Amino acid sequence: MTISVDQILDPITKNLLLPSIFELAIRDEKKEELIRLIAGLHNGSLIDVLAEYGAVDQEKLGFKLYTVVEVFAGVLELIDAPVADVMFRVNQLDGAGGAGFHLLSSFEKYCLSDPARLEEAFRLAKDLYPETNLLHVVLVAGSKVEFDLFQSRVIDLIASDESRLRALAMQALSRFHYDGDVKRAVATLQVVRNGIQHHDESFFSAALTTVFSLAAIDQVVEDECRELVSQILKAPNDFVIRTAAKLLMMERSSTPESIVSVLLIKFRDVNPSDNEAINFISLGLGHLLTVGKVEDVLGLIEFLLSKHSVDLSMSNFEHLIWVLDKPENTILRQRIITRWLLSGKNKLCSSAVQLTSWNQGSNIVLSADMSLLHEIPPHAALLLAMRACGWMFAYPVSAASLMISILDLASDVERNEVEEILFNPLLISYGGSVKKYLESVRVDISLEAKNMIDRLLGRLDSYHCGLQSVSDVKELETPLAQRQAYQRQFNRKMAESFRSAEKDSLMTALMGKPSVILYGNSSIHYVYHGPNGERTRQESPMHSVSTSVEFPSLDNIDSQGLEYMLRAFKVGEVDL
Amino acid sequence: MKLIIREYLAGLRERDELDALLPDLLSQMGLDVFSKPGVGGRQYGVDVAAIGCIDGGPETVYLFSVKSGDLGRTDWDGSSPQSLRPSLNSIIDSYIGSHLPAPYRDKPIEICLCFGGNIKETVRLDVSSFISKNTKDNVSFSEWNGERLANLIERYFLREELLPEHCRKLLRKSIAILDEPDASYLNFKRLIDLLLSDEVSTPEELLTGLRQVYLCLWILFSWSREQSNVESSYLASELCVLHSWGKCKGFLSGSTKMHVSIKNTFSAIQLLHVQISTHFMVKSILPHSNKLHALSVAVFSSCSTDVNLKMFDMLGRLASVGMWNVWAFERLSEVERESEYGKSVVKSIVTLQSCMAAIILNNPVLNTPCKDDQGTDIVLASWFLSLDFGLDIAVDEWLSQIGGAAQYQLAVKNKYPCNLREYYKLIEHPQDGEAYFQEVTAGSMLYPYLALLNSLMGKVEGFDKIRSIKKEFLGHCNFQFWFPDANSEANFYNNKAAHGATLSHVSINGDGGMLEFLDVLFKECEESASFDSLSAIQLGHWPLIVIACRHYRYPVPLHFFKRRYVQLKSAWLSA
Repeated sequence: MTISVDQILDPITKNLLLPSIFELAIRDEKKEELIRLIAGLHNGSLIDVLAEYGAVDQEKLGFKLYTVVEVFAGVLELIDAPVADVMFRVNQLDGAGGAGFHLLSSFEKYCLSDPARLEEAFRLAKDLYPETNLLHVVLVAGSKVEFDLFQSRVIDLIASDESRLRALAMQALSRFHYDGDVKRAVATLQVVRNGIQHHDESFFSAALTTVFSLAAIDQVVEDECRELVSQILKAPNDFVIRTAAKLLMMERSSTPESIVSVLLIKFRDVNPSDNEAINFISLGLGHLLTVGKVEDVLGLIEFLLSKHSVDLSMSNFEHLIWVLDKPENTILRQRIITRWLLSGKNKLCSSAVQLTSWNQGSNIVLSADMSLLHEIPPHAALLLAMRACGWMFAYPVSAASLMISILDLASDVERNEVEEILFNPLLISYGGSVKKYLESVRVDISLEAKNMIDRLLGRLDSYHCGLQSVSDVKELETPLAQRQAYQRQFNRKMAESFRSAEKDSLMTALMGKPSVILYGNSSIHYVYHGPNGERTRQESPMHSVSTSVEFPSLDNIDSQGLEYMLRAFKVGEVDL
Repeated sequence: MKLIIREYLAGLRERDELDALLPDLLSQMGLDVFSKPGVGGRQYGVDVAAIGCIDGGPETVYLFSVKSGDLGRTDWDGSSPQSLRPSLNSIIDSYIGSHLPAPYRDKPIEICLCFGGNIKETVRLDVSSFISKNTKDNVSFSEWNGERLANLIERYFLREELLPEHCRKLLRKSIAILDEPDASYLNFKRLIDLLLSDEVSTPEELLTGLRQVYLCLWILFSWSREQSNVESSYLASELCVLHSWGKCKGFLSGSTKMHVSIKNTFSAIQLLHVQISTHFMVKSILPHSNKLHALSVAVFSSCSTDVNLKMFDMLGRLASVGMWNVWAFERLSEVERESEYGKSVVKSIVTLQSCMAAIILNNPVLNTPCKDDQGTDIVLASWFLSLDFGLDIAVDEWLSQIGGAAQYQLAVKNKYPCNLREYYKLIEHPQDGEAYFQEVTAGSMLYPYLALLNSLMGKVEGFDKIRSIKKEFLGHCNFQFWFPDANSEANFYNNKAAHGATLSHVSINGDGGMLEFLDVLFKECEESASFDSLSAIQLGHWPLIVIACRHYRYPVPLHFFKRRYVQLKSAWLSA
């Protein structure tokens, strides 16, 4: 079914064209046909689409505005209209409904469809819209037709006193099509070099964008670019660093190594509270890790975590953790965990724990990087076991697996110590998960390790027998009054915790205030379809959701001793 | 036990006491009591009548004529209508012939001469002649004296009915809630307060009260033992010993019959306390001493504070049991110490010491006291472990662990020892803020005592650790020692009122180190002579002070360590 002319013209008489455009555009995917029809009507002078779009009421159209503007953008590419009118309307609609990209892209095509339009558009943009995206679009479009002319025009604009105009012009240079032309690139870089004397953060940011766009052209250009990047980032500036981080993230595969190296050094000055910059860095580093720049990435991360130990944690680098959580990066993650645990630095050790605990992987099996153990002087294996227990106690299987992995490298004395640590506090605290893990690995390990596990499991059985034997000792049981007092306190804390969690809960945000069902196990409600009172009855069964967590038993029996022991494992040295 | 019951029975009056007890005893033995004492006199000599079998014998009618105390000449055949012989004659002449219920007339009849004490030798012949003369085919006689009654009571009837009416309710409550020992103990405490109240003024009343205390404790213990939970009776036994001592200490040195009776009864209470505490240790604690965490787990709580409180409490008890053994050993002569008994006492002490050391090792919660008055338990345990009975125990290592843990807890401000006492506050401890920290650590006897113990062991490192704690974290804290004063004798055993004097702001940072510290403390000991005036010290019952300190949460008087100080000082001076 095609769209008829009347479907366009009738609404115009009722001042309902724009809502009708939305309805027609979304129906049966007829957007392209609609665009052609409107453009034809405009070109045939049956309607004035620019005038009709002058009546856009953004509030009234609401979410429909995006589609309406999208249609206008399509029409723009096909109509014949005065440049000034088009630019006026485009400037008016720029940003409306979030369809700015379509609009500017179509405007560029509109300009390119007739080179005469470019000249007029440049003049109008410079005079009437100097600080808008229109100028940027016109410059980029012009560079596609007459590169040198428009490059020189940009250079002239950069000499302007207006900082926004300068930055906009510099930004435009990054989108010029150099097509590997070194001479043109060098000319642009010269502009950059001259411009950065002004120390303007907007300009620096735009200059960085331009430099990044040129760096891959040629080695000479790359060297020049590296030098410029160094200069631009010489004085730390949050905005500029954020731009650099964003560029690294976006151009991660095309940015030359020499510039990446400069960036990794300059990123050390990032503001830890600039979450956007940190997030860009994380996204950029994730890629670098996978292409083998491990040392550089770790150098930066370790520096930042140590320097901003209070403000920054590994969880700020969520993408990086996500990358390390991929199966293909398992060995890399184990290397990092081993390295950080052995570093003896609290911040890095706690970061290693975050690598272990991310993505609900609270009990992932780990293995130490043996090459790192060889590098460290005596008792590294035992030291790693202590650190693993101290820092990863809340993730017992991870800690235990790390310990088991080093057994073959450990000396007899160390192995005995590791066995003790495995038993107390790990195994006796987590008689469920750690026991299950040990039972599962005992077939795939060396004989010595297997014997140790057998001994450990035997000791655990004896330990549990010992605990069972006191079941008839009633004299030590907690008095009722204390039990009740503790229960009251516990309930109060749980209620506070629940309220606090509920306040920030995604479910609460999505569902609003919960309905309380007092009886039954399903909920009945009606869905009303329209003004006629049509309704559908729906019955939603309720489901129970549960999760289980293994709490360390030692936390009840000897909480202070446990804390003290773990503290000693975290910061203590090997003493054999 | 039987001795006390017998003596208690001997002290009961005939009317409303002994004859009130007897029907219940007979019922408990399985007999059918068909006649009880009524108001308005006897029924032809019979106070109580019952029918049934005793020890598998034939079904017999038992007719009791009850007398109080010993049976003397006037009680047997005096001018009083209450004399026994006329009563027996009435039974033979009138009761059996005309008042015995018809269904029982063809049954064998046993006339029981019942009295709380014994038959005096002066009337033994008369009684025997009477019995021989009146024994017939179906009528026999038997003697239910104090010994026999005590045997039967111990066997069938260790129950509240032995007590006066007004005490029964409290005993009943104590027994009914044995599985909630604290509540049971509180009821028993009220019972003790009643039995040994200030209204008990005469020696006779005191003796009766003491015997009732003893019986109550026995009853409580036997029920506790049956329910496998002697917690309540342990606590009650400490209270009984202390309160009894408070009441009878004036009678312990006399030699009259009353003095001896009171002394013996107190000894029985004291012995029962030792028996209960030993039972508690042997059954519930010692078998688990070598098992890692076993005793901590026995607290069965998800609150770590509960485990901490219970374990230190248990440690203090173990130490006080040990001290009773040490006391028993001290009282032996050189020859007796070499005897089998002497060796068995030493063996008990060594066993307790080694078990205590194992408990500390296997229950690391004992390295981290959570409240200041646990210092008393630590002092008692350290003291007991330090006594040389041939076992080498590294007490200083334990003290060092405690000091180190406290230092760490103070540094991280987490669960550091505080002077809070109420449970509900302890489970909320610690809270944030410097003001809170200063408040709950405003005063301490734990740290000064740790310094003292380290000093007495000559452990400079341990002493310096406490100095360091004081300097780094507790500059505001009032380090103090407590000394008994003139009021202590009146209040130490019953805890009626606060007593004693505190030496405040004791400095441990003097240039003279440990020696200067000890000199100051033991100089004060000399000034505080009230300790030596305490009756428990004067009469050689010093473990009572240990129990009082443990039970009422008082610090252990320094005077106990004076001898060690003198030894140490002379060694230092000679070095």
